[in-house]
Amino acid sequence: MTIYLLELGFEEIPARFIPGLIAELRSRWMDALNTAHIEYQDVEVVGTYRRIATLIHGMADESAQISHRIRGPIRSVAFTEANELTPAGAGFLRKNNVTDFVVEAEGDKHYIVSYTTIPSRPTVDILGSIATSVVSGISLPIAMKWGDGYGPFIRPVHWIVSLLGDRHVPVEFLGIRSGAMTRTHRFLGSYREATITSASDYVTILNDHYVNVLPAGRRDIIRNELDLNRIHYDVTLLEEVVFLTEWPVPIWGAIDSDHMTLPAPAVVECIQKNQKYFPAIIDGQLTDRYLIIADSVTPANEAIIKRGNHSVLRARLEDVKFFWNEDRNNSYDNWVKKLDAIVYQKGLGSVGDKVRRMMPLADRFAQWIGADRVDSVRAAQLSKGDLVSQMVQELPKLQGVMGGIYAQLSGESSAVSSAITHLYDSDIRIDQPVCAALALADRLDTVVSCFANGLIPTGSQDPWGVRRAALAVVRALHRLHIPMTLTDLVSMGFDGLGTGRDKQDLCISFMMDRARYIFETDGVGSDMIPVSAVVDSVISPHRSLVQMAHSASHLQSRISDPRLKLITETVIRVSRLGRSASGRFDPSRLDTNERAGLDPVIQWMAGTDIHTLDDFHVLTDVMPAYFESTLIMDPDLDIRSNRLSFLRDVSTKCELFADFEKLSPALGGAQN
Amino acid sequence: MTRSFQDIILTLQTYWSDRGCVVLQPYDTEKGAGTMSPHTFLRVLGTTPWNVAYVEPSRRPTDGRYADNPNRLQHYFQFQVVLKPSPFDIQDLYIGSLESLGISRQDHDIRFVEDNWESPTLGAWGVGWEVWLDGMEVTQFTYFQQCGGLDLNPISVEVTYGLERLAMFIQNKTSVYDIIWKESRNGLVTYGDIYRQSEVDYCHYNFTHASVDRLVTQFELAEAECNELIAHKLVSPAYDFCLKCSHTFNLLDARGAISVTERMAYILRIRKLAKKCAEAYLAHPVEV
Repeated sequence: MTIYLLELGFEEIPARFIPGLIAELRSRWMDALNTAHIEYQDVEVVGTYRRIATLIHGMADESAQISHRIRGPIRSVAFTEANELTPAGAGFLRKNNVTDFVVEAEGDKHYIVSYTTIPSRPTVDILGSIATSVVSGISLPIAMKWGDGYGPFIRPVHWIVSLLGDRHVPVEFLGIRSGAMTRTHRFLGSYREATITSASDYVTILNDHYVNVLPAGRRDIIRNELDLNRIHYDVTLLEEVVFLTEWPVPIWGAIDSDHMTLPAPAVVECIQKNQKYFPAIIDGQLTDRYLIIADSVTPANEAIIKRGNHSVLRARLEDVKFFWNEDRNNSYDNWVKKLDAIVYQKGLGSVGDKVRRMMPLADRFAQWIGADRVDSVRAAQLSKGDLVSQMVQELPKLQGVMGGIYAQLSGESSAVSSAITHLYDSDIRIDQPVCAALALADRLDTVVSCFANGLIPTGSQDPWGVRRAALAVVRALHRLHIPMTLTDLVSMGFDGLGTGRDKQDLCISFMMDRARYIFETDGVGSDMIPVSAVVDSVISPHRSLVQMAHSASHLQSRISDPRLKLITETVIRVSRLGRSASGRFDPSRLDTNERAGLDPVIQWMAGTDIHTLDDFHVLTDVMPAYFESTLIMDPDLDIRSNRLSFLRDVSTKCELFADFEKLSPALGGAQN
Repeated sequence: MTRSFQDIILTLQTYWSDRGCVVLQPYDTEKGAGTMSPHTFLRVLGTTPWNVAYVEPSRRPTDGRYADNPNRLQHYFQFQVVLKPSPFDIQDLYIGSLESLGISRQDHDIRFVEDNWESPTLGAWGVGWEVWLDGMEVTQFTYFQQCGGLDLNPISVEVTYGLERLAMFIQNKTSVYDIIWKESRNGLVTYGDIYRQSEVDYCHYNFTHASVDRLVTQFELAEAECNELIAHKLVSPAYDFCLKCSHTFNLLDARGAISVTERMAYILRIRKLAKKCAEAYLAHPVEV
């Protein structure tokens, strides 16, 4: 049992790729070892921006011996009656490169069978080629070449350490030959190189040379400093910084007091995005400190590094101050006018046009939600203005947030400014009516615009975020219990657009798929079958989400009720027969007895909506007996046709509640 | 004694000259970056090795701030180094150049942070880093992969120092205008003494007074000239007119005279010229 180390060293790899590389290497190694039948305890992959190391713990010294049983043709085919090999039998042995065979029984038949053995091999003999194939197959998120055409890899590869215990296992990759020599931290310590004497000492030796090669170790150092100071931090930023360092050392900086008057979101964005520092957000408040995670700190240079970083941040925040002052000297109305010059989408006019489409939509949604209509329309009118503000042009992630701040400054109501602030939240704020009206208007317009313009999401292709927008709309309508049908919703969107009507049905069914997802995940019915029964019914586009949710959860609650099974069987029988109907159902053409028997159902069909399964009782009371006593396919074609039409009408009524065909799998299958 | 702006240039020139680079002079046509000099754009094409260093004045009209902003300029200087093929120890060579400027690796936090580069107008892209010196971006590092829409082999590496940033760092200045250009016989001459007024004047020109109609005409004239010169296989003058198109486009952009859709169309027109120049150069590359 030995440890194998394979360290790949390179020029600085982008931090964002490293976690993915680590995960991929680990799974490639496990697959390769399994294929080679080499046992191991664990594959550990660690690394920094400058190296990725695989440590295979508890590796067997040799691969396992593998025996295969190969079954050939049946005895009568493999052997002659004289018990000699036939050409087929000989062919089997030749094909598998074996000479020995036995005859074995399987059940009542006998076959020619051969056993082959892949012999065990010393791990050290095969490891080099396994390692080469593992690293050669790494998928490259970005690829480059260097020098005289070396590559491709993410960045130039500089060295490889390959050791099984203390024994060098030669590996060659992209023109680099492995050895036992690693590079230490680029700037810390006095050595540039170090020899790894044994794979088991790898982590320690690097640590002695200022490389903490374990991501978890570096993460702890940074997180401890953040936690100790009760700082709320962005997890994505933490992960990035973990891989931007080999020897992280926290240094605290302070924001100049004149910059603390700038809008906090802009300061935070500037500190995080541009400089990768952690702003000290404590209990939701931005304080005047920030945490720099530097990579080359010594007692001698700490003050210099701190001063340098401070002056960089100062310059950045000076820029922010410049934009802030410029923007405040501008007017929102002026920005809104400029939106006419910005193309929204080729073929769909300007952002200004989009705003003009959003305003009536916001009004309509406001009426549905019960939001203030004037505020909602005003919010829509201003909502995109910050797009042309200097701050948002410089820091695009602040779109919406800055709009809210500027709206408030220019005297808009708090409902209006708050709606703009939250416009791009991933979940629509349903607790604030104006917010919801605005966000619904924006996203509905995005969805129908993209459909009309042919930008319909396929597979992973969804550059405009149409899926996300559609999902947010349907989820908000559902949570707000707005009794609106998806047909009315989508149609309202297309009304404003004035083009692309031919895509309307496609768009409705796209929305319906979001509804399905929401019902399944949003506490309506975790069971897919009742949800499908409701969502897939032909009538669903004309039912409100409220009705559909109600039906689905009702079905879910009754899924094991024996009466549901009876109803389902009845309805399916009715609808399958009714499918071949072509004429109109005329009750007066039934004979008196039949008419009397069916009367409760005829009444029921003319009655009001179906709300629960209890409303189907009349059907289960009447129809089984009716089928028992009546030959639907009567030889008299008029009678037959009238009966079939009756069944079709019953079936249509039932579909107003659900598609019962979809339910039957949940009930153990319906009778035909 | 503080290292002056011109000392920084002289030091870098000496450093790279000692490492086998041809030290050239700035190219005399307006351009947005040192990459656009034919000493980079054309020479990275083909297989002939090429090692060069030069200062390049760069113009980015939209970046002007009427000299109000201490960090942004519409005219500034780059120190450009191009090594073809890229040497294996280029990062160490670069760090050595910082040390020649008195920036010791022991005293600072130097980082190579991902920054991939693409120039749609040149049909060029590469991968690399921006170099952070205690958090300040002082250099762009790019391994060119494509230029003029053509795959490159061997690969060139381009190291572009932002001279003003570097000088502010070395001289510990918070405004670009306070950079000491030279302690001359008549006393201190600052960057601001030399460039502040022209910076303001150019901003007025770029943002307000540049004639849109005449710029549009200039663009078309330069484009026509470029095409005609390519037909005569006169690569160098043709490329000058491609650069003129690019700068004219930047001016139109600063004037706010280009809509989003027009923008793309202009970029494509310039890229077409750049590609033709690259192809024409490759048909008759200069041997060194």
